[in-house]
Amino acid sequence: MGRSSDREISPVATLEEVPSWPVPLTGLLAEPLALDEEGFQELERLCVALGSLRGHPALFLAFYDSPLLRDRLIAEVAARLPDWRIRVFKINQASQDFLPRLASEEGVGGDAVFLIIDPETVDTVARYLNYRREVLGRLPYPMVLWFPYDTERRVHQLAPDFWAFRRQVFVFRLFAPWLLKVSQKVAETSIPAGTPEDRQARMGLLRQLLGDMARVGAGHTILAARLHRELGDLLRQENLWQESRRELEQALAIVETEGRQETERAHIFHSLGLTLYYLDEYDAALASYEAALGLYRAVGDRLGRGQHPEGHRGRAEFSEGNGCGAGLL
Amino acid sequence: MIATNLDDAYLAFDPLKPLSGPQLELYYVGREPNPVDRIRPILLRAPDSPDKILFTGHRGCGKSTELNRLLADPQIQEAFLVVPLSLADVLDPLDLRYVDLVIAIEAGLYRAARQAGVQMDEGLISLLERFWLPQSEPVGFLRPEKVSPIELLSLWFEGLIGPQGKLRLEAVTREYLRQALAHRVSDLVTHIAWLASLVRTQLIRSVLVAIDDLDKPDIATAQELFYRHATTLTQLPCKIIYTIPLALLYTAEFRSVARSFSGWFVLPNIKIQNRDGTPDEKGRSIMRKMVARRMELGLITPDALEFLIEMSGGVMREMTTLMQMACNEARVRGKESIDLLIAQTAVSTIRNEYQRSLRAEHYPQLQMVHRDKRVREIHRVRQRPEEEESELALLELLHNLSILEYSNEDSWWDVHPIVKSLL
Repeated sequence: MGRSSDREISPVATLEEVPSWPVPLTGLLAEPLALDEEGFQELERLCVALGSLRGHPALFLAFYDSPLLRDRLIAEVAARLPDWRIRVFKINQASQDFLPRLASEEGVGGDAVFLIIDPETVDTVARYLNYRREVLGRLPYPMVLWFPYDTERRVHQLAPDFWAFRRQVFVFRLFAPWLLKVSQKVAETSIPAGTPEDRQARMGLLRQLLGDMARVGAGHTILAARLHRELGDLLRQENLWQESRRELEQALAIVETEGRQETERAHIFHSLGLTLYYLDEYDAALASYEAALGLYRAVGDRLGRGQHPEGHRGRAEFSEGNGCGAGLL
Repeated sequence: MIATNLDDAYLAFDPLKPLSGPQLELYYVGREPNPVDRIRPILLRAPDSPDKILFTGHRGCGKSTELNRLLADPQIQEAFLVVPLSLADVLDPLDLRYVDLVIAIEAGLYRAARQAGVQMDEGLISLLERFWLPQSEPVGFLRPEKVSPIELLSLWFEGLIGPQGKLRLEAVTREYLRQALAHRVSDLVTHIAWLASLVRTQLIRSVLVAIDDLDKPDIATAQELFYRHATTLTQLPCKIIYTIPLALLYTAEFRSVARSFSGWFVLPNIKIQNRDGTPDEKGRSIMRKMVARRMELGLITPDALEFLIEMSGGVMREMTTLMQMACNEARVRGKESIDLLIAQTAVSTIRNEYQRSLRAEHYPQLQMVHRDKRVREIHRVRQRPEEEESELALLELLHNLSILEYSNEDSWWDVHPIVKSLL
C-alpha cells in the first residue's frame, strides 16, 4: 500500500479506436462462435444487460483468455445488437485520463463503448480507474472493459473501489473444440507468399493460436506441431534463424513424442535442414535432410527424394526464393 | 417511480451513483444509528466555529449518499456556503500532499464565493494577485489580456482545479507549487480566512467545505496527510468535513491524531444479524425498505429477498449489486420475478469473484476474524517484520469488503457472508 508515483500514470494521448463494429465477419471472425454452456450463458447475460442500458451509464468487466476469442465475442455482441453502434477502443500506455473524454457531453458517440486494455497497461489502468471512477457515473452509455483473464486478481486488488462500481463481471474462457477448429482452418490455408506485412500478421496469428492451444492443453498435438513448423518457416523467411530453429525443434519434439507422424516429421526435418543451413551448421543441416529423405522414402513420397542434400545449397535457395520450402514437397 | 417490471428494476439498482437530487428524495431510507444526525447539530450549533470533522465508513456503505443528504439539508444550506470538493475531480489521489489540499480548498472557496455573488474587496484581490501571479508564469498559465484582476484570479483558480486542472493533471505544476509554497501555507490560511469573512459579512453564512473522496488515496498517503499534517488541516479557518479511509482507524496512531479534530464519525454497515448470529430485524427491515423504494416487492419472492439481504452483509452497494444481478439473471431466463434459485445464482457470481481475488495469505486472517469477531493485529503497534504482511492482508480484506465491521452499542467484525462459504 505504498505511494504510487506519477510515473505510473502515463502521459495523456488519444484513444486508439479499433475499426467500428460490426465489421464484416471475414476470415476467422466468420467462424461460428462456440463456447461451453457457461460461456454462452455469460454472453447472453452481457447482451441482455447491455440491451436495457442504452443511454445509461454502466460498467461491466469482461475477462477473456485469448484476444482471438475477445474479438470474436465483440463481433458476436455487435451481431446480437444489430441496431447498436458499438465503439471499440484500445487502451495502451499512451491513453492517459481517457474517462473525461468518454464522459464529456459530446462523448465519442455510439450506444456502447468497449475498451480493450492492453496487458502491459493493466496495473496503470487499474490504478487510474480506481481514482477516476466517479467519472463513470457521467458516461452517456454503458461501457465494457475487456481485461486479459489472468489479470482479474490484480485489477481487484489495485482497484477495489472501482470494482465496486461494476454491474457485473463476465468471464469468457476458451472452448477447446472451437479453438482447434479455428486452428485447423488456419493450418489448412496456405501461407501468404506476399508482403512482409502479410507474413508478420500470419506470424502474430500463429503465435496467438499456439499460446491459446497451450492454454487449453492442446499444445502438444500434431496440429500444434504443424503450426510451430509454419511459424518456423515464416521466421526463416524473415531471417530470424535462431527463432525459426526454436520453433522447428519444438515441432520436432512434439512429433517425436506423438509417434507415427512420419510425413509431418519429414516436413519438419526438411524445414529444420533449411534453417540450419542458414545458421551455417552444414553437418546438422545435412543430417536433417537425410532424416527427412529417409522418412519420405518410408512413406512412399517420391517427391521427397527431390530434397536430398546433394546440391542442397541450390535447392534451399530455390525453396526460399519461392517463399515456402514446404510448398516444394 | 417504483419499478413495476424487471427491466425498470434493473435500472433502478445502480451501483455507480450515490443518491443525490431527485433520487435522494425517492430512494433514501433512513437508518439508525446514523452519524450524520450527530454531525448536523455540531455544524449548526456554532456555524462560525472552525470545526474539523472526520467521516468514514466501509466502501459502499452509503457515505457519499449521507454526505449529499447532509449538504442538501435546508438548514445547512441556510447556515453555510457549502463548498463540496470531490478530490478525484480536483487533485490526484495517487500523488497527494497537504499543500495541494490547502490550495484546492482556497480555489474551491474562491469559486463558490464568486458563484454565490460575493463581492471581492480590493484588499483581498490585491493580496491574491501579489501572491498568485508570480506563481502562474512558471507553471505555464496563459495570462489573457484585458481581463479584470477578479476575472484573472477566477481563471487562475479554474486552471488549477477545473476540468483541465493543473493540480490534478500536471505533476510538474504540483511539484513547483509544493516547493514554492511549502513555507507559505500560512498565507493560504490567511486567504481562506479573508474569503470566509467576506462570505460571513455579505451572505450572513459561514463556510462549510466537504471534501469527498479523501478516502480514495492509499493508506500511506492518508497517513502522511492526517498524521504528519493534522495541525495544518485543523488550522484552516472554516468548517471542514474530511472523508477518510476506514483503514486509518485501525492504525495505532489514530487515537492520538483524532484528538486534533472536533470529532470522528463512522457510518456503520446495516446490522442484519447480531454478534451471536441471530437475525437483526431492524436492520433487515431497512434493507427491505431500500428494495421496496425501488421496485414492487411482487417482483421478488420473499425467500429470495431475505436471502439477498442476508448475503449483502448489510452493505448498501452490495445489496444494489446483488439486486441488479438478480434482475438481469431473471430476464435472461425469461422470468417475470426473482426467485430463490435466481438469487442464489447472483450470490454465486459474486462468490466466484471473491474466490478469484483472494490470496493464500488472506485465508488465515479471514478464519481468525470469523472465529474471534475481532481484528486484532492492526490495533497493535507493529513489532515484528512478518507482521507487516498479515497487517497488509487484513487492510486489503477490510478494503475489499471481505471483512465487515458492525457497530451499535458495541463493535464487532465478521467475514462477509458470501466469503464465509469459502472458508
